[in-house]
Amino acid sequence: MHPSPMPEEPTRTVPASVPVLEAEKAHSREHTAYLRQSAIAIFVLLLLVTACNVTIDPYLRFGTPRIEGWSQRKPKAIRQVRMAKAYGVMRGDYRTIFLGNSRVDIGLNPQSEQLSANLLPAYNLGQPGSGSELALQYLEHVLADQTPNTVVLGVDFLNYLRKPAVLGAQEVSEVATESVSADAARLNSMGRGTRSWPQFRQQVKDTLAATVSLSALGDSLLTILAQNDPNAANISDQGFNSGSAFRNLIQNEGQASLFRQKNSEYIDKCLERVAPVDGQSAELQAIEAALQLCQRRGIRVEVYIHPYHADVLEIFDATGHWSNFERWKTLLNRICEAQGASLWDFANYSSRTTESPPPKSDRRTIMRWYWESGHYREALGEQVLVEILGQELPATPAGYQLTPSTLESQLVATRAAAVRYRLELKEQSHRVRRIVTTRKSAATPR
Amino acid sequence: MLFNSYEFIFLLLPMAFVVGQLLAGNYRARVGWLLACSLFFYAWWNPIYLPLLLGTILFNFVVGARLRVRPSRWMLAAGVTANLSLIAYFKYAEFFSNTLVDLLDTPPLFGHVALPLAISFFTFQQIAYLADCYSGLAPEYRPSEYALFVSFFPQLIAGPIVHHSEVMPQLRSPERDWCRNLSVGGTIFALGLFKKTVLADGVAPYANALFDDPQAWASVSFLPAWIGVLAYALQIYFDFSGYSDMAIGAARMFGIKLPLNFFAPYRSETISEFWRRWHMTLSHFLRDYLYIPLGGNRFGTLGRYRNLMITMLLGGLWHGAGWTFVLWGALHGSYLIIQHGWSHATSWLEYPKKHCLYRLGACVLTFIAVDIAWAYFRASSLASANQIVLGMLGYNGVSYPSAIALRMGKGAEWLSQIGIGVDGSSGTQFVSSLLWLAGLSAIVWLMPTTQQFMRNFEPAWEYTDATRRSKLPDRGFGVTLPLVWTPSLFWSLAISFIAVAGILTLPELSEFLYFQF
Repeated sequence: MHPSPMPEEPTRTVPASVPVLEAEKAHSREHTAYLRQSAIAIFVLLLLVTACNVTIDPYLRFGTPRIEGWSQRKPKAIRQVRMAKAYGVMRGDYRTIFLGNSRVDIGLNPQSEQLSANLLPAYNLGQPGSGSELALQYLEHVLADQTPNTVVLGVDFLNYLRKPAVLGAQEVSEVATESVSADAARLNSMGRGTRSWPQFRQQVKDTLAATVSLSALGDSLLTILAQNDPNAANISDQGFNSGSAFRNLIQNEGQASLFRQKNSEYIDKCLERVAPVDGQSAELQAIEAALQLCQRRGIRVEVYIHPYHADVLEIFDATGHWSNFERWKTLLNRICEAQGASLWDFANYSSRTTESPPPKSDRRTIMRWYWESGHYREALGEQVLVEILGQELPATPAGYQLTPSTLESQLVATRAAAVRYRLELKEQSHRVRRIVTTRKSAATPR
Repeated sequence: MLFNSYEFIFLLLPMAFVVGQLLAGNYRARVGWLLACSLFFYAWWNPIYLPLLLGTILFNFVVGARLRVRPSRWMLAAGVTANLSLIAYFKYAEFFSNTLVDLLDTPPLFGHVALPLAISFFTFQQIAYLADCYSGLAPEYRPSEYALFVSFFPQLIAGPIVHHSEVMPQLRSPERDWCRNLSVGGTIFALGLFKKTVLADGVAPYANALFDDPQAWASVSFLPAWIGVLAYALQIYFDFSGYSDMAIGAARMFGIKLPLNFFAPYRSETISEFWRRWHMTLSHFLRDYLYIPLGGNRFGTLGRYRNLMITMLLGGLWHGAGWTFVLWGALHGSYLIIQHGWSHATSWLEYPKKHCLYRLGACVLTFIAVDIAWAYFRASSLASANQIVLGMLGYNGVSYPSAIALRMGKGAEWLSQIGIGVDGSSGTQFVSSLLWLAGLSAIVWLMPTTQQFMRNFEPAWEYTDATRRSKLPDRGFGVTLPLVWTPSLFWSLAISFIAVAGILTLPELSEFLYFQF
């Protein structure tokens, strides 16, 4: 076959007859009407979706006033907490900021009656699933726009431990590699100025995700449906997650089950993670940077070690991390001392932290101080606030201030309390240690 | 640039359309404009590979021109080899090097080689073009026309693999009724967007939960293994079907009717029918440029089986450089051989084979075979694929969430008596995964395909000619609801809902599965 010659320029087809032309025109009118109707319908639908999502504001993106029976509770905001709090904290001028991970998020109520007038208003910037590196970024975000007079920073030994793979000369934070880069883009950064192109782009993305998105629409509808559920999750306008969703879990599974699940998670973490070499902990570097930042701005900082349930302390010990735990406290103590910040230690064996979970079959009892071993309830958070922000220590304090002069005696006292606990609540201690032993033997190559 | 992105839907596509209409009377300018849009579309993510695309276009255009004037077997072989070398380097060099490292413990020959976007597609199109130039089947094109044929943005990234004889005549004299093109193309595009972003992405988490989590696949039991694999089967179905619709819809807005790439494959009753309905343009390419040149069925039964296996192995490797893809191709090659053997042995069963029960069995068996192969296609390692397939075969027992058992009363006891136990997985996830699978299965086996739905408006290249139309696959096994699109108020509202659902998923950007091939 020979190649075809080059074609002539295409020309318009001339209609064969007038009736054909008329029929074509009629068809064309149908398609034009279809296009017009579709354009209008799409525009109206998008408008309705946007109005619905802005009104319900399921992710607390806009701070739209809450409507009783429609949008009072925000059960879906806890899934978008990075976004909710980044914008939430910018809608006010706060004197006190709570920083840390989910223990802070659920544990410290910024509307606590224990906060004196000079500390109010307060905002809870605790971010679940994060360490102090993210806390530092959120602190910079706040300080780029306002200057609180007090910062409360909850620090976590589990964030200090890292997988061996991410430890090296230049430690890479797991948090940083997982989600911070996208989340950080929306934050004000003191290093790059208050506004930047990536930040603008992320803010546009956030706005679209909270308005013209199918997820937001679904979550708006679920928000409306959840208003009659007294146990629906919620985040207050001051960033506090009441933890009420735990009540549903407890009703379904019981608190013993929640303890078991959380303990298993911590055991796995402790078994696979190691403590960084001194001076190479990104977690401690972030804490130090946050304290320096506050010191430069003249902001009072109270750093506290969480009131871990005794189960968690036993896991630290049974997985061989107790010495690392004490070393971490020592390093924290040095950093806080150098930066003029107070350090409080609530990680000890007390009547609160040794509270026993109910039996397996009990799905009604809710413990006074804990949701599960990893998260203390607001009641214990109140005790923490009383002690670190109050004027006087209560008769039976939940924690102690750590200073260079009291550090060693406090470490010794905690060790002694641990021995007493293992004698007095032997079964409770064994419950956790048995799981550790099982996991260790499963992990050991045969 | 992704089809399911703001920049494509609200920027490039409307701009390309409007300017294209303004230039409708000036052929050269219109071709130039569409070419510019296509190159911009390609370069959006990473402009670094744009010179590569332009280089291969120039190379093949020059070689094609020489072949057309003076057909030379040597030059054809050199041209094809150059194309295959390019694809071999970018796609398989690292795989080859890693295999050598594993087998012979040698130092790696190559470091990480990044895969240029769409290289498999534009290379195959151009190999076919060179072969046609050699055979005298390709007419002379202007450089800009040829470049547009290779890079036309609706089909550039993930197909369909178009043949110049299908597209070039349309480029030269496109259908001019822009209202009709826009309403038909827009509707097809909206359906594709919905399939991809709402349906495929909606079911994806249930597949990912199995394939991406070593704890999930390590000793997976029967039900979660099947849920994960079925979720993936439906995810890739709607992802690919959605992508094909979006490509066909976008091209149609410019008056170009692309060939079908996808036609109800899960309604197939044999594996060969599956391949006539799945990735149709790739199947055609492999048939015309690999299976038939290898000898097809001209060398007896054994020669045919050998050629089928080679074709499917290379088809598997085309999808990705990895042993899981090779095994996937080998499985399909084996299926084809078994099917041909069965057909030969049971050729006397003509009447029973038409019975609906036989057809149902054939459809179910074909679907199960395809699903087992999907496990290898999706898995990130042979170990995980083997574990999942063992789970599908019941090797790790059968269990379901204890939360469901608590609500089943005596039914749970009965299940326990027949050996079905309980586990600690999430009951909510279990129920929602079943709902997703049921809903999507209903769409697969009840609803018409997009092209059947749009059949009155020439929704693809095959529909433009009675002969080609008669060669289309039938509707396949299953019930097809008699839904036919017309430009009416009812359908404008219904499609608007579907379009809005698709638009609302844009903030949750996701990639097409077929981008990785």
